[in-house]
Amino acid sequence: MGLAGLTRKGKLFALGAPPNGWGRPAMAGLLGLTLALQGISFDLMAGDLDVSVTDREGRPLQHVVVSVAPIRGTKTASPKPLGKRPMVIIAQRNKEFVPYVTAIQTGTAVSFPNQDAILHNVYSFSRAKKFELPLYKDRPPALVVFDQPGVVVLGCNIHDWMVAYVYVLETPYFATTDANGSARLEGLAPGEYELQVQHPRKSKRGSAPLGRILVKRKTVEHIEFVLALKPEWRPTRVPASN
Amino acid sequence: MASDTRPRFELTSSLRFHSLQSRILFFFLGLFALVQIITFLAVTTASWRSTNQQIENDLLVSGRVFNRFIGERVEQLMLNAKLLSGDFAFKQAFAHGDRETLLSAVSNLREHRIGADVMLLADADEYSVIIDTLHPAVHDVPFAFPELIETAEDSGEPSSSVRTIDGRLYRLIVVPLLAPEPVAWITVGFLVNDELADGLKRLTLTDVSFLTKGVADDWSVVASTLPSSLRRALAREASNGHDGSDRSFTLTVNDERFLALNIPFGERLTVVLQRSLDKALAPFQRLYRFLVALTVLALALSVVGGALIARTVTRPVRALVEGAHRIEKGDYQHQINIAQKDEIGRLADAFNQMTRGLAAFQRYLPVELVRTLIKKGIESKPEARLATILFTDIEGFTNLVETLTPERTVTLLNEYFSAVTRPIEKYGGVITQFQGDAILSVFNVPSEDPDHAANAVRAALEIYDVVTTRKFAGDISLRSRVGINTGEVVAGSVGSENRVNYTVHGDAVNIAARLEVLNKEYGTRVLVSQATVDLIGDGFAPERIGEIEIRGKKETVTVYQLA
Repeated sequence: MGLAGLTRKGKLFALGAPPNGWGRPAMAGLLGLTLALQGISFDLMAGDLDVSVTDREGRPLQHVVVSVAPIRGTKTASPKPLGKRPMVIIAQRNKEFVPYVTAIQTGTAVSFPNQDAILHNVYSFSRAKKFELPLYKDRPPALVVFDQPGVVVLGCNIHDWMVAYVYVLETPYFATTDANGSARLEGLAPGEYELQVQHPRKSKRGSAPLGRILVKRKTVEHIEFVLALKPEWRPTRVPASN
Repeated sequence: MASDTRPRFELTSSLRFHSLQSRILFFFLGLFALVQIITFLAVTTASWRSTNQQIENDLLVSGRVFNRFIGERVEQLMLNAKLLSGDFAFKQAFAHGDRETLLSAVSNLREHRIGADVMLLADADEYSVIIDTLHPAVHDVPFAFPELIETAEDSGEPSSSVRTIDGRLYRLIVVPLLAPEPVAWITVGFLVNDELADGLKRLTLTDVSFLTKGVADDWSVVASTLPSSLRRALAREASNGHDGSDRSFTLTVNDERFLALNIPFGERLTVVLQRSLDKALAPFQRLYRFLVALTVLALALSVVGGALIARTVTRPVRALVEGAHRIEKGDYQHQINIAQKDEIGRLADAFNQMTRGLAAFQRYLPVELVRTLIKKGIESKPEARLATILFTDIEGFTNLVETLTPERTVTLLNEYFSAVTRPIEKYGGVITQFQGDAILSVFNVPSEDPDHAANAVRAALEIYDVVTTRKFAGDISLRSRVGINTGEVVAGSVGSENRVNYTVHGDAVNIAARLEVLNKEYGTRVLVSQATVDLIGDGFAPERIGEIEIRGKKETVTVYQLA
């Protein structure tokens, strides 16, 4: 998922003066090739992070958002322009929000298409983003841009059980654990990072950073940890079927 | 003869009743008293138990009603609070963050939609108070009961408990404000006060009291339907160590007895339902008083009645006893005077008849013999004993009788016999036979008489005196002859199965008869034998007359004259 466009100071191909008569197009092509080669070579230097999360009973934990923020001089690639980022979609399907947990970078726009035959409303009172999409069908009245970092809890005001979580992160480096409790962060430039882990049932007292990790060149770092969960206040879905 | 002549009836060795009357009386009274007491005890026990049971059942029902009543109140509030927790407009007001707006909204909700006596709002992060309807100006202080929120948080269910706020008791319910996950905690509650207690009393008709346990483990009444005087007493009673378990118990408060049920209501909190036992028993008091009065009256009547009945039985019985007593003494003339027509009356009549019979019979028997027969029974075994025989008859009686009419003869004889038997009997002699004008009497049988010989002689001398000093049947003078001998005789009842005669047999008897006849030869009046003289001592002056031969015997008998 992540866009790992990390580079470091690498070797540049030194080019002498071009032979007479090749002109600017040749120069541009050469530059492009060079850069491409640079990119490839940089990817080959990157390290990976393999994260595995379980709960206290040892069961794999899904929906854990694992993110790393570079610190101390670790060079990062500039974030992709907004227009180039793919649209994030959180749909209402079968009277539920899908997906349950979404991690996005600050500034990302999210679309909330209603794929049900009935009307839904989408609201949030979270400090990071307060908004309300009044009852609608099919296409949402607007896209919602999440411009502040933090946790945004979404609900539907006519269906008490519908809930979704949006983790808005500064850093572009994040992944969410799958059903096996695993997530992979690839192509990280070697260096030191601050590791953060978030989950809907994790303690609400801020998402404190978990600690620092070192990414080494061409190595896959395996991280495993256990997350303690608190009980959930969630109304039951009505009716049970359908 | 027994010295104590009054009859005695013994019940047991330890209980002695000296008369039939008291025995009957005691029996009647005892039986009656026993029945009355048993009845009384049964009635009081039954009424006590049934009242007790009924009140106990009532209390148990009241307890269930109480729990339901409170439970429904709690549920109602909880439901309303839950509705509130999903109210979108309220969430918006909360999210907006303006406290004054929120305060007004909460006040409105509390009053109009929830119907609670108190409502609080606390934030989900720090549990700090945002809104408190009891203290509208207060905010940003820690919520007083964080444990309630923690319980709700951990269980995923609303939590409910009793707490004190400003010295008053509230039942509090905590639910989250879901937006859509808990963003704040809403607390609603109702007052536990006298009004609540009154509402309960109207439903259950029992007195309701809410008590809290203080720091010193003493109970105090927080709310109650009882008047204040009883409240203090109740608190004291509770403090005196009833254990707080949920069973019914008796309570005495200001001298009134209650049956009470304890319902634990929370930590250091309890509810006491009570019903007055005394009031419930009041209608029975009249019954008891009536029973007691009835018992006393009936006891009195039975004393009188028992006495009367006893009398109709014991008075005649005493008369009968007296009659028997007289017979024992030898008085056969005494008749019992009982007028009753019942069994006792018939018994008295029979007794009288028997007495008359006895009186008649006894003239045909020696008195001594009659006494002995009555005392010892019919068959006195024949005994051989030394005795003195006195034989007497009238000189020239046969010739005399020829000149008299039969009636005069009988009169003469009767007078003569009366005169002669008196001395004999006086000196203890028993007449065994009347033979024409002769009398055969014996001394020392059937009763022993150590002085029998002398007594016989005394009797003889008196007979001589009597006969010579008076006239019989008008103007006839008689001359008596007496023969006395002492010897071994056989005395006893002789005869057939149906008819017996008390007689004496033996040589001694024959000798006495011969001596009597000998008077004619010697011209004497009283002749005694040597054997008799040997036994009479010095008080008499016997004169030796001669010796006679006894037919068939070798020895002769020396004969003496006394008159």
